[in-house]
This record gives sequence, C-alpha cells and structure tokens, in this order.
Amino acid sequence: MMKWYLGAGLVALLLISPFIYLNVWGVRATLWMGADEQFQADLAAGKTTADQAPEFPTSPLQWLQDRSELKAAFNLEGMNKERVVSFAIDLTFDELLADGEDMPDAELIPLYAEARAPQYLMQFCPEILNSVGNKCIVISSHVSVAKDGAVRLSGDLAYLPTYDLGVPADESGYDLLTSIESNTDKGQGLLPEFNPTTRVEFMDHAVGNCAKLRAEYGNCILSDIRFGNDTLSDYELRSYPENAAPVRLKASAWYSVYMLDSPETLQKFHDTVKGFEPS
Amino acid sequence: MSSNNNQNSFQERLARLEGKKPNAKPDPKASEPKPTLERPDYSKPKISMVRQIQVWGFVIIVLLLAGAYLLNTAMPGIFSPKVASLESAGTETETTANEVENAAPPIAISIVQSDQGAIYGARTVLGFDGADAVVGDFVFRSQDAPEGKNPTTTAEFEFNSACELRRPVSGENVMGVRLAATGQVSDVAAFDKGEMARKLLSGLQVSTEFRRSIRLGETEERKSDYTQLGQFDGSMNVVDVLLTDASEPVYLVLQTRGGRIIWNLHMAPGVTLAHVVMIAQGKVGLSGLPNGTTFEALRISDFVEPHFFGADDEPRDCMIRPWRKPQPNWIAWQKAQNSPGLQANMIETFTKGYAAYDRWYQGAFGVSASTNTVAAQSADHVLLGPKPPEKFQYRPIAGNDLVVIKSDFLIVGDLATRRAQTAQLHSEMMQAALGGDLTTLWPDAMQGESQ
Repeated sequence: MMKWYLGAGLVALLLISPFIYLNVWGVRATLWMGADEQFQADLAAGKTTADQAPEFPTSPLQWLQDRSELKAAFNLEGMNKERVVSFAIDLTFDELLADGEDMPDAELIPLYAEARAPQYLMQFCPEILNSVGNKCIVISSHVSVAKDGAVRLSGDLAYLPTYDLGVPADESGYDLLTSIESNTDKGQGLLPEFNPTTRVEFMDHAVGNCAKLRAEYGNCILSDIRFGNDTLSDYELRSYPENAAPVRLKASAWYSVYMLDSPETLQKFHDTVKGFEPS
Repeated sequence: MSSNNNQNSFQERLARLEGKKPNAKPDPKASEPKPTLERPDYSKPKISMVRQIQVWGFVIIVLLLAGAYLLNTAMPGIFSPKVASLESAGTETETTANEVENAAPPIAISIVQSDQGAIYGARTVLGFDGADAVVGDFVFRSQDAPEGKNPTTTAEFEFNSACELRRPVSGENVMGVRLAATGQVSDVAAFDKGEMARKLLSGLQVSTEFRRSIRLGETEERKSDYTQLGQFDGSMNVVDVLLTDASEPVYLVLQTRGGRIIWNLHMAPGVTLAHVVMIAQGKVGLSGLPNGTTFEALRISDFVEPHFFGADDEPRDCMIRPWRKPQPNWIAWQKAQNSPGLQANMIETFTKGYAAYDRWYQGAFGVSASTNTVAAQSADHVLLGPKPPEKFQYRPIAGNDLVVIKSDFLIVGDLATRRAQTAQLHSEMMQAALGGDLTTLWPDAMQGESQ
C-alpha cells in the first residue's frame, strides 16, 4: 500500500511541477517589475546607466517558442510570419475607393477601411516577387481612421524566399540574433521617394547585405523588411532637389543570423550591419 | 513405591494446575480435534456496503445543505417561490365550476434579489404595495386577440434635441416607472447602420489571428463567410404597463438607464392618459398609446456624459440618468453594511446619483422621483395604481399601433424572420464594404513567374 501512495505522490509531483515552475517564474516576473520601476527612477535621477537595466526573467517555455521560431525561420516549404515585409503607411480614405465609387457614410468608413486593407496590401506583392520572394500573401492587416479621415494602414506580407538562407550551425549556445539597418540612421542621406522602384531597390540592397552576412556566419534571414511613408513639410523639402515628391520612403531591414549568443559576438554583428553602405 | 508416590504427587499437582480432579478420567473429547479459530485478516478490511452508503450519504447531504445555504445567502428568496392562483391569460368567459376545475396549474411568482435590487420574473407584477401578484390577476386576454405578432401600424419619432419637457399641469397625476432592464423579448428589432458597422468591424479586428492562420495554411482554409464575424441583434424588449388609477389624468414618466424597451400600455376603463415621457439610452418605443395622446423622449447620452465612478454625484441641470434609490433589501446594501469595498461604492453611486436625478426630476415634473413611482432592477409587467375592481383587457403589441424611435432598420416578425432579414442586411453591408467581392477579405497568395 505504501508503494502505491509513494508512486501516486511522485506522479502528482511530476504533473504539478510545471505549474510550480511557472508560478515561480511569475513571481520573478513580478519582482522584475519592481526592480525595473526602481531602475527607471534611478536612471531619471542619473544614478545609473541604460546598460544596467534589469533583465526580464526568461519564461520557462521560451525555449519551446525559440525552437519553433528557429524551425520556421529556415523552413523553405511554406510561408510563415518569421519572414515578412511589413508596411505602416498613411493614406487618405479615397485611395481605398474604386474609381467613381461614392464616399460611404462617415459611420461606415472604419469598416470599409478595415475590410479593404488586405486587398490594398496585395498591391505590394509584385514588388516582393520582383526581389526577395517567389510567393507572397497578406497575413495581417489593421487600420486606424483619424477623425479628419486620415487612414493609417499597417500589415504584414509573408513570402517564400528566393535568396539562400544558409545553414544554421548545430552548436550549443547559439541563438537567432537580429540587427537592424535603417535608412533613417545617421549618415544615410536623403530619403528616397516612396514608390515601387525605390522599395525594390531597398529589398535588393538588403538581400545583398544578407549574402555578406551569410558568407561570414553561414546563414542569414531577412526576418523583416519594414516600409513606411513620411510626408515632408515644405521646410524639410528644402534639403531635397527641386520638385522632389513630398512623400518619402522610410525603410529598415532586420537581419537575423543564427550565431553564438554572447555580448562580444552580438556587438561585432551590430558593427558589421552598421558598416553596410547606404542603399 | 516412592517413585510411584512421587509420580502420583506430580500428577496431582499437574491435575490441580489444569483444574482437574487428580483421579479424574481422561476427557473422551480430548482426543477429538479442536475447532480452529478463524482470525480476521486485518490486511484486507471488510467493506460494509451499508456503512459506505451511510457515510457517503451523510457527506453528500452536508455538502448540499452547505451549498443551499451559501446560495440563499447570495440570492435571498431563491428557495421561497410563492404560488398564486391561476386566473391569468385565460379567455374571458362566464366562470363555471367546470372551468375552475379545469384551470391550468398555478403560476409561481418569482422575485429574486440582486446586488442592485429586485428582479421580477415572467408574469410577476411589480406594483406599488409590493403585493405578490401575477399579471393574470389584473388583465385577461380576449378571445378576439389578433393572430400573429405584428403591430397594426408603425411610426417613428425622434428624441428631443433640447433638455426640455412639457410640464405637468394642475390636476395631472405624475406617475413613473424606473427599470434597469426587462427580460420579455418582443418581435420587433430596431437598429442603425452604425451599430451594424461597429459589430462587423469588431469581428474583423478580433479575427486577425484566425485569418492569419488560414492564410498560412495552419487552419483549414475557408473562403470568407462574414457571418463568422458576428451580427448585431437589435431585438427590442417589452414591458407591460398596467394603468389603473382613474382619479386624475396620468402624466406618465417611463425611465430606464438602458434601452431597447417598448413600453406596452394597458389602461383600465376610466383611466385617462395626459402625456407620456420616455427617458432612455438607446432605442425606445410605445405601444397602445391612445389616439391624440402626446409623448416625447430624452436620450440620456445627449445630455449626460458616459458614467464613471463619481461622475453623477453632483446635482446639475439635466442630470437625467435615472438612478434608483438604494433599498435595505438590496444585496449590495446588506454587504456594504459589513465592509467597505465594491458594494459600498455601488451603494454610494446609487445614493448620490439618485439625489442628483431627483433634483432634476423635481425641477421638471414638480414632484419627487419617488412619488407614484415603481422601481426595480428588472420587471416584465408593472402595475401603476390600485388593484382594479375587475379585470380589463390585455392588448399585446400585435394589433396595436407602435411608435419607435427613428432607426435605419425596423424589422417586425418572429425570430426566424428577424434573423433572416438581419443576416441579409449584414451581408449587403459587408459586400459593400469589400467593394462587392467577399473573397477579397481572404486574398489568395500571389505566385512569381519563376515557380
């Protein structure tokens, strides 16, 4: 009888141990909130520096998520959200209407905008097919409509890469690390015009840089290429050639490499990306 | 010889020890095998079924009683429904002994207390004196009741644009009904394009992850079916208001913090209705209004900001949100006596809100908000006045004239009819929102030429 009790106790302990572990993590996360609040206060008072920020405790299930993300990132059999081209652009509502279509009642505009967002984003697929991928689909979209009718449209397009991803090394201590190159960084010069040609050029530029990283690290993925538009004021346009279009392209490329996860290697990675020639 | 003597003395001692006589003859039964005693096996306790039933039965009864006690504490009165005699909803004929004997089974009166007051169940009437009664105690349904459920005519009206109402004149008896909700559903649905659009938009926004998983092939692919996004219901509820005070023309004030109520008026013989005022948030309507009787309505949100804790505490002009005065039999009131907290805040909100509302009410109608007014959390039937000397005719919405606040869509019909028409309206709106093609909600992947 004692053996049965012991066995049942062990099984129960096995079953509840993940919950105990999660609760311990939950307590640690709560303690982190307090530590972070204190850190922010100290930072504001000049008593500490940004690099001393307390680290958020890793979730006990993070390794599961990391493995599935890693697998998806290098999977060439299908599209997924680990490799996307995302857009966050401002437009006017009538750009979502068909030619000759009447403006709907004001109370219907948010519904119309949200409903038409996926089809509007599909117009960017030909550019993606022209540079980074050979299959493209809209996987998310969202719209917010301001009171003056201005529309902010954002969305992600997943694609199947045509560029070589490389092979992730089978080593311990490795992780998928990301560094970002943006055309709004210092020294990048004037923003290009917001049009299909400049967007394709930026994507080609990112593919080229990814190839350089792959030569060094054995692999590279463009986990995200982000496009946005910025309408410059007359004052800002003074820096641009005469008759320059006011709507300019803001773009960033997110390079993800599976490499040794250490402060030194990460810093070297960032330095490499920072050293890329502007697009 | 001595050895024999020694042996005999030994035998004698032995016999004494064994309690036998020294020269007793041996027990003939001694040679018989002794019966072996069966010792119980304590490693395997014997299970008595009777004892098991006794023990577990006791445990279950204790648990049930504890649960009933806790439920009764949370909702007092839930276990004490009263039974009234029937005489309701049957046809008006000469009462005969046979008819009494064949009467339907008694209807239970249902009044359940909640945090914010009494909830009067189906057929139970909310009246002045709180006497427990069912609607059939006061009205009868005529044999000539119209078939179907559609009103005779429908008309629309609009809320007042200003916070002004016709004042009662001398000789008019101001009477009121104040409810938070009702549970009786009508066959009328009224709603606007904006309400439909917001519902569809909300469905689009919450379905983002679902649509992503479909597009990535993680979930079985389905082409757009907008009905997955949800539909706006728009059904109106109905409250029967039985008016029995014939002493003076009645100035009737019908109040609810919510909306979607059709006030169905039933007047006993001799009752005169001078004017009707409705105060509500959202859709509201009137049925059974006598020809020539004037009416008007105020929408709460036109004059009062959305409520948050403390917002309605200050008396001010046009504070028309109809708070009810808290009563000692409210559960929140009782809980608030024991400890501060959510219920205490709730009672404070109702107390101060009622005081502010009462101030406006007195200014608008000349009497306190409690005068000649019945109030509850929820009720389907309300009696304003004394018990009538005899029953009078109940008039359902079907066959009555109906006036409803102006709406983009007004659908009258049974549930199936309303659902079909509502679904059709949603489909048309979604199709227009998508530019005519429902499949654009789920665009197919685009392939490159190289593949």
